Amino acid sequence: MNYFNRTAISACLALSPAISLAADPAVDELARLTGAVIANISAQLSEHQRETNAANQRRAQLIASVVRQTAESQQIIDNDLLVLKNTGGAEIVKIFTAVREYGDQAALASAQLDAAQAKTLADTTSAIKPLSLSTDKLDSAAKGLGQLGAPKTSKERLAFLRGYLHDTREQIKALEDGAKKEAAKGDAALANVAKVTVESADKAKPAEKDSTTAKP
Amino acid sequence: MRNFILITTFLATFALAGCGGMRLYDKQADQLATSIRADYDAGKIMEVIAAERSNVEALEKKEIDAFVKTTLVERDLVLLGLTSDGDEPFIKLFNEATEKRLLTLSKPKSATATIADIRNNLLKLREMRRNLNDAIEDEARIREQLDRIDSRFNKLPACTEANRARLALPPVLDPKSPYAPSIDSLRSEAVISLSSALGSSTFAPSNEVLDVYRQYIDRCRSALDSTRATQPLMVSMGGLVQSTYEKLNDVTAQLKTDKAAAAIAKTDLKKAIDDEASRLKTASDATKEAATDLTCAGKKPEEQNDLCKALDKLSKLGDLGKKVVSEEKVDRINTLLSALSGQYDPGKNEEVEKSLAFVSAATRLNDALKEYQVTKNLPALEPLIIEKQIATAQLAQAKQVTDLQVARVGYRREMHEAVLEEAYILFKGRGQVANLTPTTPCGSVTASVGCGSVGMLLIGTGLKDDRASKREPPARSVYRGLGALSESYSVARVRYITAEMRLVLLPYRESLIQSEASLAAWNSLIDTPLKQIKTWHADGLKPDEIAQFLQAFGLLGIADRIKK
Repeated sequence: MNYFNRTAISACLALSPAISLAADPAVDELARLTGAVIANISAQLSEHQRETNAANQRRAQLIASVVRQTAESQQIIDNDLLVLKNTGGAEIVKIFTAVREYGDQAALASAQLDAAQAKTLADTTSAIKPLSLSTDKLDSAAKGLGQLGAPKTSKERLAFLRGYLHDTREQIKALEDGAKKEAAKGDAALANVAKVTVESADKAKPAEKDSTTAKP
Repeated sequence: MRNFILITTFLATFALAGCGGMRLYDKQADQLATSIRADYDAGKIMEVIAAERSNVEALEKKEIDAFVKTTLVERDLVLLGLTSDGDEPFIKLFNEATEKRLLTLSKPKSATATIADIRNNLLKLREMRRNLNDAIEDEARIREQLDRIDSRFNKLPACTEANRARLALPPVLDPKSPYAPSIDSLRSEAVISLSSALGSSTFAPSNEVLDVYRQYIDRCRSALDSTRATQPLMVSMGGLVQSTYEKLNDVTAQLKTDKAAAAIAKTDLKKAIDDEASRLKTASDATKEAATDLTCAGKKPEEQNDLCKALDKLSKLGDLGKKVVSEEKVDRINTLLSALSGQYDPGKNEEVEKSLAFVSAATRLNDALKEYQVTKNLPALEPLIIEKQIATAQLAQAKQVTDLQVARVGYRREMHEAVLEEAYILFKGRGQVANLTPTTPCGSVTASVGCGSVGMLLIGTGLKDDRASKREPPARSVYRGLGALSESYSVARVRYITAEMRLVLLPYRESLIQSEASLAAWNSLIDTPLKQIKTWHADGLKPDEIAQFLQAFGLLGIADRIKK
């Protein structure tokens, strides 16, 4: 029986032009191309993450440096206030504290006004939110059904996807290049602002030789 | 018996041949494809963007906080300097400090200009800016209204000085005087005015719409007039007032021009799609093939049709152009998906052919129209959906980037407003301490209010009160003056640095948006082949199916009989 069965099936298979034993070249090619694309994305993602992490690190260092310089200035203020307090300058400390609070209060009031306006706008906008239906899930379902609906995964369909995948890669690559360019622009602009702001605060500091008396 | 086996084998082979496309199932390959799909899903590549967005937001907040804190510490240093500076007259120190800053904010070009001139200019400016802002807001609002009324108003040029000549004010369509021209004559004049602005003479809307158009032109010209009147004053003020104003003007005009250009290009695109579909309809058999070749890529400009030219024009408009093209792609692909679902009869709905024409020119489905003409087949579902997903990702990116362009204008405006606000606050402070101005030069006489140091003014005793106006105690004037100086930092300068930081950090947000669009596109692109490969390998003739098949044909039974 075994002999017969094997012979019968082998004969069927060998004679049948419709049944292939070997893998389909279109599938192989699609798999190879998809694999190459995934490998490419993986490499680009690694590079992207490395660059982004480095940029974030630079930004974090810049923040730390600005915070430190601010703290140094704050130290000068605190020392001066202590000197004034202990040398009969209580009235000056009082007016300094009062006008500082005045400024903070004005900022708070201004921020509250801005917040109130923003809230009104947000409330109104949310009341008239334009309709926007995400069709992602519907598309995904349609794509799945498209595959289910087709009796077989045809060679043509796979071959088409192979060509399509190849053609589309270039377009997406352009977007990545754009992202890198923008990030570089941000780095340059941020460094420039940091330089100008810190210089301005430095100018307001009293001269080293006369650290107890701050001049504008 | 031998003949029987051969006949049966032949029949089975024949039957198998009827199941066209069948192949053997490969268990290992199926398992591998399933595990590849699982690995890819586990990669969750889009989560990188979510993490990056959260980093960008956190860093931006910390950066702004750090720079705001620096500004406030600078404020404290200045205030402390003014309040603790020995015996110097307070009014002198205060005026020097505020004058120095005011000259940074506004540095008049004229050599004879004084601080009083800056103040007068600011007051004049405040009045003019009210009219200007009202006109600008009205112009934008009525323009949107016109676009909603009829899309042909999209063709109106931007309300900029360069287009002033084209935007002539049409007459009022309501003759009050018996000597005025007839309403028909006024209407003709208004239509001519509109045609000249649009560069086309085929659009003659109703009188009510012409009236809205007239309001638009009126407010646009008013905005241009106010800008024209404000400009010399801004420029003459110099300093940060001038520079922030010029930068604001530049980005506003650029955005307005780009938006108008995108609106015009969008109208051209729609017309080109219609034209291509009509051309195809009227094409003879001999010219039909050429009419269906809508591929744009690789063609020289002189070989390109209007549709390719319109797409080319839009591609040069950056993200605003990309937004128009992506929107059109999503709409057109939706039409084709509807046709595929049987909602439309492709043969009867001309939108289907138009969509095929557009899809052939603007996507990688270049043969869509040609194939439809020959086989009546619409493009396959999967590539259409991939194209739609990519277009949707690009549309989201283009929308976000164009929102950033609007935000850029907003930050520039906030910076300019903050500069003006700071100047107003400083002048308010100077006004508060003005009554401390000494009536005679201080010289060696320091025992008067006008020549008193902060310490003396706060104590308030032993000083000769030489003030012209004695409304309140000197200490209160000091407090008010210093309070205003403090406010100039806490409110105006903080507002300035916050807007400046947001502006400076925009490229990081733009970079993130582009990365997100890029990843979303990759994801859409890979998802389908992965699914297809997995489906392919899950498919195939499995051993148990072969057994069932043979049983159905009685081959196993024959084998049993042979054995027996």
